[in-house]
Amino acid sequence: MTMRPPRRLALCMLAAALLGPAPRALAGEAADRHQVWHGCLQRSFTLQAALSSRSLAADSALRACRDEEAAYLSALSGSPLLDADDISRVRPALILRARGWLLRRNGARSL
Amino acid sequence: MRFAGSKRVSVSARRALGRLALGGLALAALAAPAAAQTYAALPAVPSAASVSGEARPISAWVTFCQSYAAECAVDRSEPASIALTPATWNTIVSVNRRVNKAVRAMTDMDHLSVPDRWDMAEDGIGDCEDFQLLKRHMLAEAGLPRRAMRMTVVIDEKGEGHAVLTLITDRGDFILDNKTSTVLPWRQTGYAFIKRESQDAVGWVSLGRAPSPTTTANR
Repeated sequence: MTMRPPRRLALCMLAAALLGPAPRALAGEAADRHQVWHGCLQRSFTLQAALSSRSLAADSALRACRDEEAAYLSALSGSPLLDADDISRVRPALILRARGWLLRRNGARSL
Repeated sequence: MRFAGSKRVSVSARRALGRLALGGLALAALAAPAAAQTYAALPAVPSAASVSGEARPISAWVTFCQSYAAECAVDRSEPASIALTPATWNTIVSVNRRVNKAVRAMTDMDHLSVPDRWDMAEDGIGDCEDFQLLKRHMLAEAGLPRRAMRMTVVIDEKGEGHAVLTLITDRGDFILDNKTSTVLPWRQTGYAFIKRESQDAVGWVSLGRAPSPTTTANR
């Protein structure tokens, strides 16, 4: 039987209402992804710093770990406290914080 | 939902505050245990987070405001900033410490099987925002302007969304947090600040992008 579009739409809306909001990320998933991203940054930084300045190595590590960063931001968007606008607005601050973390964590020693 | 109307909320909240032995405390009574963090040690140069525009409210906050309308109301005749004195500072430090000690931290999922619900930890259990809502309620009862105490969303040291309470004062913005009983200037938290309740309307505003320079990423 073919349903007319308005009826189908109404059923979809009812189903959505009954099912509730889309499943949120499991608690701790953002933290896990954040750790994976930082692990990637640290490994990449260590390699790059042997070949270039620490500042360049940090930039290079941030570029090399884009997939991990994206996975983290995706997990973060599952937080009930944040929406997509918040995530895109805060991304530069998170990158800056990660860069600072890399440079501070690795100190001034040569790698 | 735990409460049907604001009258019941008020009674329940009072009962909970009584149970926690926190409700109706006078400034003098609060002052004593706060000696460790002194007013004299506050930073000389005030620093405040900058507001950059409107932000979308959190859905659990909207539900909270329907049940606890008075907790969300913005009275524009109130001061937008707290004039800090040694007595008010001691009150703030003491309330922060006592609520952090009295309330048991548990996620809403573990506690209530819902992803997010805002309340004032009436049963003595709550997650980050519940601690801060209770602190604000108590500080407002102690006479501090609610308008200068804004619920705030940050990204914490673990990279997760987290709720804290910002106190906007004449000595800068200070953060009340359930992760620490030290009341920190906002820049010293290491958090990335996302948004907070507006001081001018029942709604939320975005905060500046710059992360605080001192990070607590390793704590």
